[in-house]
Amino acid sequence: MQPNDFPAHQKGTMDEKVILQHLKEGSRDALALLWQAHSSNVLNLAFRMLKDRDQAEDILMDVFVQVPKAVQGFRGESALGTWLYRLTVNACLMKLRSQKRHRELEEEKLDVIVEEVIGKVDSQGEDFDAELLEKGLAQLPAETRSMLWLKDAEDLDVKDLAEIYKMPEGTVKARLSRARHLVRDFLKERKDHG
Amino acid sequence: MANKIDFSKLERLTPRDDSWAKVCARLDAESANAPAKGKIIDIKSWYSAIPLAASFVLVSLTAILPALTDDVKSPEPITTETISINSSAPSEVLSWYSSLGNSASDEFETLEETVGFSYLIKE
Repeated sequence: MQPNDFPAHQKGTMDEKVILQHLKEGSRDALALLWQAHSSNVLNLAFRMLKDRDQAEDILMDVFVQVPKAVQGFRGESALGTWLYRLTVNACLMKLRSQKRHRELEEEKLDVIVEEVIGKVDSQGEDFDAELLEKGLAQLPAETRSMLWLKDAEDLDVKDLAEIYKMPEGTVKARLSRARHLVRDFLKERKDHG
Repeated sequence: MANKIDFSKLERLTPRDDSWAKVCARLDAESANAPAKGKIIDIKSWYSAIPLAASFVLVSLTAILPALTDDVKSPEPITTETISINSSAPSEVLSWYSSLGNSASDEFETLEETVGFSYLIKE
């Protein structure tokens, strides 16, 4: 059964508490609803952290496979989406740590992006900003990059971020501020020299 | 928020078409393996039974042990022998012993140390 096959009337009426209850009972339909609502967000967050499409897809599947078991320990104190983000961040961090070449990965991806940027500047000048932004984001550690993505692209509250990353709200705000400055400075510098 | 970085130009991914099917397949495979795991005794579920069983054993032993000890008979009954002080003590000790409590004095009547020690050593 595809997630889209789920009866339309149930999509609208099943709120999070009901979905959570069904998930705890092992309902595949509830999991399908969760997939439909959050899989794209999970995938993009994983992609922002890992900067690899295939690995991001693996993380997406890993996260949803572990949901039926992990949900048994979830007390519903936060939104399901926030909880999924936390699972995703943890899974990505574990993956990065297991690879033990976090920095090498960053540099490797940076090189790829540099090549892409150089290649596309000649042909597609208007797309340069997006590519440069990718390069600017790559300057940040994976965790901070994902935090900035969740705040500015997914519009999560600082409170949710504090819960996902298990750190005080003040620390989250400071990190976000520093990250934005770093990315902006990088973009400004590149444009000035461009 | 004006301070936000504009990510709208960045690529936004959507899950591959077969990703959900793969998730379902993995979940099905896990549930298919679940009955085999169910046959293995879940040790954790026994943890709560251990104190209960120990209590039961203790109570049983408390009830049964006295009955068992009653049944056990000593092969040779222990006999005691009463030895009269008259037959073993020296005359000084006997006179001191017989005069205990007969004196009108409030002072303690003590046996001379050397006599007492010699009696104890002799015994």
